[in-house]
Amino acid sequence: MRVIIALWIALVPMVATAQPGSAGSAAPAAGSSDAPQAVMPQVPEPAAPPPSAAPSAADLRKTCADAMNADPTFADAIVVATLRDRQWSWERISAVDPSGASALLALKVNADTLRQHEQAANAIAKNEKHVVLAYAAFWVLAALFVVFLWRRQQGLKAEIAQLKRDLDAASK
Amino acid sequence: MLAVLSGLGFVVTLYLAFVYAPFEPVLLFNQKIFYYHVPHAFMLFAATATCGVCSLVFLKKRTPKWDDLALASAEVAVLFGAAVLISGSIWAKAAWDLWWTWEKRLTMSLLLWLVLVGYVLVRRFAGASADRLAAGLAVFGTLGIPFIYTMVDKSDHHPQAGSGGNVMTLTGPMKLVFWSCVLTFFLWFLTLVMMRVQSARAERELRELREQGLDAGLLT
Repeated sequence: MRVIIALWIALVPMVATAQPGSAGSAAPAAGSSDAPQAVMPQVPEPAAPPPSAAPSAADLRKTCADAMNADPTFADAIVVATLRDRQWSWERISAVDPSGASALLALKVNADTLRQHEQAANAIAKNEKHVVLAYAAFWVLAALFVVFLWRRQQGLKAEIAQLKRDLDAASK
Repeated sequence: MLAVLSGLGFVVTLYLAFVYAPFEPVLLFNQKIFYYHVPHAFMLFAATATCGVCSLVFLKKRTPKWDDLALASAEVAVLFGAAVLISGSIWAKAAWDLWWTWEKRLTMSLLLWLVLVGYVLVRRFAGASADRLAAGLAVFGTLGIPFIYTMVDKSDHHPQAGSGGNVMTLTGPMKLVFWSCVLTFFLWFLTLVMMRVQSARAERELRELREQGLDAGLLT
């Protein structure tokens, strides 16, 4: 047992001083004069990348088309957002592309449903009306009860005092 | 002193419930009603049990102080019961989109409240034997408490707090906030009962003075 304790006492400072970042390290402050200056290896600065040419409109269109083809939900979102931004009516879409109008209408319905669900979730999450109503009910009931008790107590006190006076006068 | 402590408790618990307590992910903001609704229900049970026990002792000993305590507890229980039913109804509207459902715990709570209202009405209108009649009613009402508390199970859709279906399993900040509210409402319950007991003693004193006045020929 003593050997274990002696070993523990000897090893703990060694381990602690072997880790400069640990709380037990006795490294002097960086600003002190006798602090050894660490020699950091010089790492060369990475060379700046050469300026690339701005992608052309065709490249951007291709990138966008690839992304839409890869992810149908992204494609749907792009179509719905575009239609909403341009405020196209379904009659106009039907006039331009009758075959695609029904598919686009389905997309719009899905987007509207999703938006309604989001609005409902937000309304429930921030529903303060019912919480305010419930807490108001607590306070109103408590206040009414206290006022009722107080008024009754005052009335009783007044009646008791009056009766006592009458009884005292009668006894004299 | 109790009233001051209760007032401080209300301020602290409102802060804890609305600022400190985390947002419950299922019931969302409506869950804030829980911190006052359930302690009110606990105090309804405490007041009803006090009324029942005091009524039982009164029936055995016929000592007026037990009757005063029973009457005070019953009226405070009516107050807490009304608060539980109204806040529960508002919560039901927020969570289930209906003001009332004949769900087991709601129905039993309503029945208990009606028994307590019956107690108060009997005390007011039943004449000379009102105290003994009402005491029997209070004992009957008290027997309903265990049923109401244990009635919520998996088949029921009443909100269940904590992982184990009861408030004892609450953890973390919610546990702290909830039990702070329970302590505050317990102090409030004691305050109201003491106020009402003073009023009951004054009523008794007034009755005795009236009898003296009748004997003295002052009153007719």
